[in-house]
Amino acid sequence: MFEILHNLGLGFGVIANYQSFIAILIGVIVGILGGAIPGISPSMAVALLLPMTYGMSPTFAMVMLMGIYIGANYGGSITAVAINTPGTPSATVTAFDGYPMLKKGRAGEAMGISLWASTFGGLIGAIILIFFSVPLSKVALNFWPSEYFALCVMGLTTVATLGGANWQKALVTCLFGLVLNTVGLDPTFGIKRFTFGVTRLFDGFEMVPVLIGLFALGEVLDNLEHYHATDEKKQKEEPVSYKLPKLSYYWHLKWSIIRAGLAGCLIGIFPGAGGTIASFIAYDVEKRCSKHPEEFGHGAPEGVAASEAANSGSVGGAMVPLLTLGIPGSSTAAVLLSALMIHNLNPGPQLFTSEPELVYGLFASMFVANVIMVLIGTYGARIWVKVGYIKKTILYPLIFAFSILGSYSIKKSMFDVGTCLAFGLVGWMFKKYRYPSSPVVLGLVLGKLIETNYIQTLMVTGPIGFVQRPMTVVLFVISFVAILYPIISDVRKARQK
Amino acid sequence: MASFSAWLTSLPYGVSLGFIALVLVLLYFLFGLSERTKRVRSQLLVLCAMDLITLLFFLLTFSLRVSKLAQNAGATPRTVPRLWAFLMIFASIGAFFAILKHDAKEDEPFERWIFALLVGVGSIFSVMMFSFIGYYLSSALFIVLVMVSMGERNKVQLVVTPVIWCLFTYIVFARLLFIKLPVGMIFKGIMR
Amino acid sequence: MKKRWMTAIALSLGMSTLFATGQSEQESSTGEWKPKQPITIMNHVAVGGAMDLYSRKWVEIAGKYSDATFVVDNNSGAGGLTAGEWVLGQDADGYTVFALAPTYLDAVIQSELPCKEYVDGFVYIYNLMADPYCVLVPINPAGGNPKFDTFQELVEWAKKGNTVTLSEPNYGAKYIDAVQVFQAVGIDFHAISYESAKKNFAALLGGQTVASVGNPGDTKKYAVKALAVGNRERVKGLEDVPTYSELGYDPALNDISMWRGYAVKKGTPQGMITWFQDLCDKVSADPAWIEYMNGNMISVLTDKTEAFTKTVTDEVDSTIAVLKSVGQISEGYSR
Repeated sequence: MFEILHNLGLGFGVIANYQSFIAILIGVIVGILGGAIPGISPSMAVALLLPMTYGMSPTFAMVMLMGIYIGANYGGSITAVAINTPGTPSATVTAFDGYPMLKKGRAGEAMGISLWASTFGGLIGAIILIFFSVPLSKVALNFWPSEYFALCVMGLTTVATLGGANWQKALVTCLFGLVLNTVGLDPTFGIKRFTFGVTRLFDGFEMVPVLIGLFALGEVLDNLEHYHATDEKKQKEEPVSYKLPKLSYYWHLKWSIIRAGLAGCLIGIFPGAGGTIASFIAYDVEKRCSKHPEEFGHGAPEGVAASEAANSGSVGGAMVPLLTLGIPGSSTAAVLLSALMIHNLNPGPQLFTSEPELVYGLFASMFVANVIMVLIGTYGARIWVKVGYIKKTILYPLIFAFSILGSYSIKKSMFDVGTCLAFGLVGWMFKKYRYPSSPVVLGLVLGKLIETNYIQTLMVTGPIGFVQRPMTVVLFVISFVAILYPIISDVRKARQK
Repeated sequence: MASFSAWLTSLPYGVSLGFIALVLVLLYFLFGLSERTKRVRSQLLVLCAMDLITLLFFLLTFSLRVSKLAQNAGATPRTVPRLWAFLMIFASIGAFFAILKHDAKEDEPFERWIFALLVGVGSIFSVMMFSFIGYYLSSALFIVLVMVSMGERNKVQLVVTPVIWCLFTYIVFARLLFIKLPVGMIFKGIMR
Repeated sequence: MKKRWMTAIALSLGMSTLFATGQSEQESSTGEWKPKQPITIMNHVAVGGAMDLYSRKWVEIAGKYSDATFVVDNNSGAGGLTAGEWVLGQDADGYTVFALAPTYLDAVIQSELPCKEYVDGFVYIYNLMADPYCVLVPINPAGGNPKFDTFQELVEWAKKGNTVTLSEPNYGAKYIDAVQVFQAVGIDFHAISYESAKKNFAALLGGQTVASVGNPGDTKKYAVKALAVGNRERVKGLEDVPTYSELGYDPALNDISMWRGYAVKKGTPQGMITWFQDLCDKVSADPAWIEYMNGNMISVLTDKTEAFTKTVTDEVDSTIAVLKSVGQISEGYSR
């Protein structure tokens, strides 16, 4: 412990110069902007600045790229709150409550919560990474496909939370998402499924255009259906709070942030799990723990806090297998791995002893990056908090244009644009007839993971693998309880009445 | 079943979607026959659309190749889609009865849906125009047309908004991110 | 009023022609070709993948010999198919280069797409490297798996009735090599597919599988060791690892390797191809590139169109044969 603290102190010493500060500052700014623009994923943002780092020392390069990763995870929440368009898939859950808060005139509160929850979640992830990376890496290696499968099943249980009173419709839309996820090359055997001869569908539906279509375009089309010119005047008359809350406000969200940050970090450790699954699970946990679960989905501050804290906490988690084993925990971590290799560094346990300045400098930079993010976010939020209140005659066409451009940017493909527009129509119908869209996203996120890990479990251990390993059994039991608890609770309440 | 499935696979997706649309139209009239289903007709149709797509995928699984690798695995490319289809049956039945419950909310009435649909179609048309007049001109025109149709009459805003949008996308996407946006045949011809 | 509207429309049209620039056309096909705009190198793997790393390094070193701007891009969809399709959808103006490896060909064949379009639609202009395949096992096996110090131990263990489980990403090029090697050796194996090379090694190190087919460079990244390598001579850095021919197996196994190179769409001006090949020659001779390749235990190649095309043809033929033998593709599929 003392050795770690001593090394951390050295790490702060390594980055205690203006060049490192500027590198982190640039990284965070680029990350926030990249994360906010749908279509520019955190991994793309890191990849874009990667060539700039060739001439830099490895430490400067890594701290800058780390700044991008941290900034991008927060940046996705800006558009999620402002225009119901998650900038990154992991910010999807932030939109569930962030956007309703904005519609109720609590824009400043929503932006402030997402900023501070992101920061504290990121710091929690960084602390766990620094003190527990080596033992946690062993846990990551021991996570077999059966555990991944059980984790995904646990993720699916959140559908009940997402649906609320409409849980039957939520289940249907979740299954619909799972069905749509089977489109493309089968993840295990590479067989074409349901592609109808369209090569673009070999990889299934791209996540970001689906998100943009379902949430952003679906919302805009629904709003256009109900739009009247007098709405502009009404909007001007409604009270709107742009101001971010004081720091003391966030104290009442402390347990939500801590729980979610821990959950995000722990889930982020497992390669492939990622911030999206972490934010769904953390959101579900918060709703179950909340005294006012009925507020979730309608502007609950805990919902925004949980999602953002989990999302940012997963950054620290994803770095655990990357630095200790050379196995990235997320796609952005994979880009960071390539940065390490370009600078002739091989991640693994030896990195901690051969390049302690780099490793602990990186750890120290995570703290600094989160502080810089808060400063930039606090000032920047004053601007982007007003985006959601731009005149609708300007905002709606721009959202359309933004959605089309964002969908195109991912793979420079018109097919993705078509996907976005098609899902926009689907999102509109869902919104109009009260089918929740978020379970579709859950199905799309988890579908291939469930299938792949199910088949891998059968291949590695056979069916016995689902009940043989203790961690798998524990996760299944948690899932079972998570499904049964609300049902038993409702039955008890009905009996008491 | 395998040959029927193979025949279904050979159909273009437009034909499959068209067939699903036809069935939905028939269901529209069928649900209109009873007062109970009439008031929640659209919700039922959305449910049926998802079920029909799931059914189509289920039928298509019969023509999926099962290689030796898959046979040895104990699960094939057909397994999981069929599992979801199976679960969808129960989920749909549950949703069907939940929608039909007496105290369930009825369908929201249509408001300016034609306007919203036209904007959606307009966006599709705008995207199709990319290959002819390029991204910038096409999206600028789309923005202006939607603004005007929403009632915007401020000329300054009608000009400035698309110009700023084009500038923003040019600087950020084309110059900073090197993302080549469609140029359009007309401008390619001019440049030649 | 009407005049103002006409002015505004004319201004907008004029400004959009400004924005429509940036894609100026190619030089004439006669004479020396020089790029006038950035050249996109489209990778068929995601950022951080092997070819992505090597192409970025290549761009860094190419900067010493040319002031051309290269933009490295990635499109890993459908095993690299979408990258190939994207390149084929661009103009053959010399400003798009496809960075590919056998993984792309494997994806084309597994999807039973027409080779005439997806393989023969390219001109294979430069093969940069040969990365040998080797059989890898964990240094410290987990999950109760046995420890192997030599390839013979693995073979004998398998011949006693034990199942050799191999983790292979997506039944791709390494799986093809595994089939050829283990068929030649005369033992059966059970391949388990993982989504990526990194998940592959996580599975191997976690004890889910016994071995994997990888490349020598993997021994530096992960806690694994090589038991046998497919190369004509022992690989530098793995001097104690025998080749297949040294172990008494078919010498042809030594010639199967992971190549990585560049291709352009058919119809690209010959001037561009010549210019690019010349640049590749300079990079391949650069000491920094050679050191980088040696550090990753990869052989530098300088194969141009004719030799590279033959390599691709051989790869396609062997892949089709192997995949037909395991029923992954239909019997009717051919090149």
